[in-house]
Amino acid sequence: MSFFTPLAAILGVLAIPTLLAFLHQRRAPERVAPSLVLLRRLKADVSSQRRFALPRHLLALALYMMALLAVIFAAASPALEGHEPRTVWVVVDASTSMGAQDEGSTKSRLERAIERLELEVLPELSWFDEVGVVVAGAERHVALEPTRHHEQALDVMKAITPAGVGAPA
Amino acid sequence: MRLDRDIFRRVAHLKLTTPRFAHGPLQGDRRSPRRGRGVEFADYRPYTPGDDLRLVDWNVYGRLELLLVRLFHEDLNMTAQVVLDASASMAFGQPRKADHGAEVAACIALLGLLHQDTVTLSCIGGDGASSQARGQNSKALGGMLELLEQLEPGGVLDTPRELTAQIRGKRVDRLVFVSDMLQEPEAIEETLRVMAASSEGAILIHMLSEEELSPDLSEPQRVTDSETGEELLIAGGREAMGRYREILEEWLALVRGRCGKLGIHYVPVSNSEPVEDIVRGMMRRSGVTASTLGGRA
Repeated sequence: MSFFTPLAAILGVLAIPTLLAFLHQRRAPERVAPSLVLLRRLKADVSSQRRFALPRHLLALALYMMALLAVIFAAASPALEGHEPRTVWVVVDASTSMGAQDEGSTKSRLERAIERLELEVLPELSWFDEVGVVVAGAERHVALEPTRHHEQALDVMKAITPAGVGAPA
Repeated sequence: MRLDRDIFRRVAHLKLTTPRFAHGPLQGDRRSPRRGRGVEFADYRPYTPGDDLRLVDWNVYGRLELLLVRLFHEDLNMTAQVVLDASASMAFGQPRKADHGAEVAACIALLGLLHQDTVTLSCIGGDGASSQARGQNSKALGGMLELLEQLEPGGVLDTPRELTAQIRGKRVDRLVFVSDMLQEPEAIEETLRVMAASSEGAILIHMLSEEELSPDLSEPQRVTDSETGEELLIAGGREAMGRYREILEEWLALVRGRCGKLGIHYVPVSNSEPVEDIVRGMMRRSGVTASTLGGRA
């Protein structure tokens, strides 16, 4: 198993204040009694003199900790073996020739390429796969850094014109 | 302290009973061990020259030819001392034990004064201008009420020593001590011994409030002693409450048991009971007070 966002483990620090809250002894309320003659014979509660002591509500603490662990686990985006996230770079040839229409087609080569990309490549990707776009023409540049927002990648590609210059969104 | 004076009208028909004999300094209506002028025949003794001839029983002389003088029980008033514990622990409860106890003490003093008994009212502990008032008739009641009203409960009390100081080594016919008796067992024993030694008819009015009878021990708490300032951390909860009830029962049994052994009338009362019920009900049931309609006490 691997984690897409292992930095989420940093949320584990939330366990510290939670633990402290449970272990901290609330200061016993004070009151004045007529006399301690009778109360003195009650067993003194030594544990209540400490600042920290074993929590009284162990079950609640266990539930809190389990919930926090579940949150951290989910935030770390776990993935099983073979399902690790991929980064797919789409390199679009934006040269002038890509603007030509082949025989029997009403769309340019670039439009067809993007259409196939939309219909065949992107649907195959998982939501956690990242897509980056590089425009290659007279000049080369990264039109979009890898992102999980596949629609954004598609929009960037649709905005490319076969003029030899990429037109990132 | 605050006193409800209306209560006096409702208990005025009662009187304090005499333990056995009265030993007061004045003529009264209570039987004394002394032979003298009275109405109740006590004994005969042989005539000696100088005796009042009116006291010779001439019927006996006629039958037996013996000159015998009739002796009568002399009727005296009773000496009564009412002592109120005004230590800091008596400032608790609603109404305060000290206020409630003061009303009980004032009622008892009134019952004595109305029957020409020699009554001394004392307060031990507390912050008052004076600690004792004395009188033989109802005119003295004003001074006693003033003493009680000026008093504020407070301070730590060495009860046996203070009680001894108030009694001043004299024996009294009735000694009434109104207190919560929140002392160590040794001090309780000593206090009761002082009472028993000072009076044949000692009465302990043991006044407790909810603070002692059922304190809230549901959670851990830091408790401070009102008198000594000592602090104690106690574990609350059901177990502590159950254990406290046991301790309270043991303690009450100890006080009651020691009173029984020493011949002290034990009257346990709560500050929630009306003063009238305490004086007319509980004290009457234990033979400390009686109705004046019953005649000679």
